[in-house]
Amino acid sequence: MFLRFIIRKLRFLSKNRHSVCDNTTESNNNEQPHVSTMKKQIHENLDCLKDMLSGSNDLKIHPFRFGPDPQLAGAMVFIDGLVDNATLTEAILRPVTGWQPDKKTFPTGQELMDVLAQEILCSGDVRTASSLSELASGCLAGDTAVLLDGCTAGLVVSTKGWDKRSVSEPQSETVVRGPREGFTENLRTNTAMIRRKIKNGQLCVTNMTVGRKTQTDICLIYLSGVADPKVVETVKYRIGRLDVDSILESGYIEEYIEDAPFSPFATVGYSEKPDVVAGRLLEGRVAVVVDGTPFVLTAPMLFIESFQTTEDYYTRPLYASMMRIIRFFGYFITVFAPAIFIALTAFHQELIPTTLLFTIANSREGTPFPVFLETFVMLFAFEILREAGIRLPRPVGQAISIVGALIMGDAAVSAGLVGAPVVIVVAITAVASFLVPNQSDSASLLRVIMMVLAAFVGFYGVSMGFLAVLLHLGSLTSFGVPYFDGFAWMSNLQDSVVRMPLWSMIRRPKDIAHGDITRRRFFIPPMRPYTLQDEDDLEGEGEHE
Amino acid sequence: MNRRLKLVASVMLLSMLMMLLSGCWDNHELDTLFIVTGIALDKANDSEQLDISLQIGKTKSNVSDSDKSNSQQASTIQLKTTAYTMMEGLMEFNRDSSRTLLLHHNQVLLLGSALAEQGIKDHIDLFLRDHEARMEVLVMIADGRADEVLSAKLDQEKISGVFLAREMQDLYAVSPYYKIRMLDFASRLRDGTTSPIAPIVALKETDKKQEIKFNGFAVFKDGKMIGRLNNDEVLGYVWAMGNVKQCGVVTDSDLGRAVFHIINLDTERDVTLRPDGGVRVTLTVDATLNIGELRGFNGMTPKDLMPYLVDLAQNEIRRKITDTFVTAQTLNADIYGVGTSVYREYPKEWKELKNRWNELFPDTELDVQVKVHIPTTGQIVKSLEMEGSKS
Repeated sequence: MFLRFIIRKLRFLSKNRHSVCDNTTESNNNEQPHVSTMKKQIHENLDCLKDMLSGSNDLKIHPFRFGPDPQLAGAMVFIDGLVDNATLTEAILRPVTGWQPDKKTFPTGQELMDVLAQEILCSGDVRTASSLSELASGCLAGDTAVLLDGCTAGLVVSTKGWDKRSVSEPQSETVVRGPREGFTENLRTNTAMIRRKIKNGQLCVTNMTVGRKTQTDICLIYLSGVADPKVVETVKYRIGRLDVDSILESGYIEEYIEDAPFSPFATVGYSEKPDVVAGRLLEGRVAVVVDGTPFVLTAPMLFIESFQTTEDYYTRPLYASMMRIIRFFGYFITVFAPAIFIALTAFHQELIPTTLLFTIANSREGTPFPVFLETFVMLFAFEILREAGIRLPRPVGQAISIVGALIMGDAAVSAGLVGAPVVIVVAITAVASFLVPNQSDSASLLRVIMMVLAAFVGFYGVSMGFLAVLLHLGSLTSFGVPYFDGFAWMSNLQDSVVRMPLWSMIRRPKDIAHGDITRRRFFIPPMRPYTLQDEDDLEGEGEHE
Repeated sequence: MNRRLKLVASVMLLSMLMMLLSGCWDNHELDTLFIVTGIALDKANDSEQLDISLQIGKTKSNVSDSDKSNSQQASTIQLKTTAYTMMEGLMEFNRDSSRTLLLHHNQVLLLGSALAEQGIKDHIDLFLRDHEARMEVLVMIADGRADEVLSAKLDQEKISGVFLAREMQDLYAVSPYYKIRMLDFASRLRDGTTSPIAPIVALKETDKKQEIKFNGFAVFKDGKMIGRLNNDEVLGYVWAMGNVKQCGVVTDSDLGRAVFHIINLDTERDVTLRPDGGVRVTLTVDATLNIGELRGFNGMTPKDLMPYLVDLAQNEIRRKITDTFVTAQTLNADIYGVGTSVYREYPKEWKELKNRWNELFPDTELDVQVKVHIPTTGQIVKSLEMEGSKS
């Protein structure tokens, strides 16, 4: 009976999926972009433009007259707030109105448009647009449309200039050593920041626009000759086939293009810092910069990437390696510590040393709930506190942390609701989850699964869960590159659990970089003290003579 | 399609069932367990039966601080019963107690000396068979009633089972042959020629205080306790087995008293068959000693003293080893495993020798060769008395 029920459900699901696909393809076909041609009369064009922008009040139309004894009518159309008023005056109004051409040679029609674009307007970016929708989208992007009476075309002059946040230190990825600048919400600022790190002609920037309603600008950045063309094509294809109405953050893009949407592990990386992105570009990855967010996506992403920080490369290799090993331990602890604790205390008491067993047993004495429930509730409470801490305004946050620390840590134990070891385990789990911030989402998911397994079948369950996670990780790919590739090749191992000295990491990561894979000259260790070197040189010269 | 779906569904169901099948198997919360820290077996009035006594380490909630009387309460629980077999006793305990017994952490199995003399082969089956009762359990013999030793209220440790385990762990650092686990005991029982031994502990009561004293080794043969080694003989046994660290050698002579500290003592055992059919054991003892304390030796210079001391130590070590061997021979108990050594050297002859081992062992010749090095004299060279005589 039950079996049949499940089969019916499965069949229903698979049918449903097909039908959804059909619907979307149909709706795609129905929608056709309408192109409205321009009229000769300027007021007709203006009315039409107004209509296209729903008669919004922030649409400004500034008519002007110019030419010999101002006889020609024109109009500037722009959206208030998106344009820089100084540029508007300097680049369009002043040169056009101040223009004193000869009456006889005065051009008309299309010719006038070209003269204006090429000779008069003081702007570096002037485009001729022949359709009203083109003009409208220009306006919406912050440019100014210039319309002339009697012309069936218009000019789009770049006058973008809205208020934006200045470059500042990112909140999420703070460093002790290394550059402190972070990306901003402005696309061009972000691409410029990457350009400033890699001053090379190979750095290829490709623009795309996604989102029917939001028309979000997206930049694809990669080092041609280093990045794998297949990956570049895949990213381009996956973004290009998107037909969605909005892209508000790079997370939208990430969700649409990732390899494994239902995996707890992210297969697209992100960063808020230009030096991180530049480093990944140099390894042959592709970056996706999305307008309106300081988070830049990078692909393909490997598992090891979550454990690498920029500071690993800025500090000396021994310390960096130690930190990386600690990060691996931290991740292991944050996933498995509660599960192991539950398994030990509820199933495998024989594995605990006798003295420790008595200590734990003493603290468990009189606590009302099973250890699984206790741990689960404490972790749940921690997640609540963390979430509250993020969302609350800063002055209130302190109050929350005090309440959390006192009530959770002290009162719960002294009231006998939870045992002290549980609090310790939860605390170390919570603290360790911040060691690897990129994987903290996968860690909190896996942690719960492992805890449930431990609560049911003890260590057997935990080890089965560990195996399952390992198998899953092994089967994951990111844009065709195996997720565990960081542990696969000797050259990749140099930058995995330990970080070898920079001068010994000669090649870019295998399977990611393609073509120009040599990163450094073969083996350039640091110089020896110069006195020794001089002696060697002298000897060498002596032999030569 | 249908078949594939059916397969997927059945796999899903089966895996779900698998989770439930093993669900919470062996799940015991800590506050539903009695942690057994010691088991004592004694001879009951009815010779068929056993007096079983269990010591349970009491867990105390450290939450209720207001109850000061808590700290004065006993830290152990003693469960007692009389039953035919160990398992029956455990069943009774489990029936009559509020929690499940956890044998994993049992530290010690104490056997009353009366029971040991009667024979213990019948009573330790459970300790070998049950997976919860580990082979690492220490086996000890109590002088008198075992349950009295187990219920001793000690100053050093709250739980006497833990005390015994720690004492043995401490002695293990001196020589691994002090620590007799169930595994060692049972393998000797099975071995046939090698006699099992087990430490003897005795309860001593002075001024309302109870103490547990280490009181030599019990020697078993055919699962019955047939005799004992006193503390001196235990030293002789341990030295004969070798691998000794940090142990004292006490010597007395006409000139003075010297106590040495063993830094390292290794023994090599060599077994040969004598032409007359007997066995000859050669023990080569290689000891590195340190002078621990000197008393007397007036008027001797360090140069004269050192060879004398080496001689003294060698003689003492040889004497103790020989004494113990003689005791073992009079008991006719091969506590050294000489038979096993013979088997290793002469596997073919052993088949025949094995049956005659009871006659051969008392006849075995022992040759002890001791080499003592005293590399240092400690922090001072001469004792104060020696210096005084010089001036």
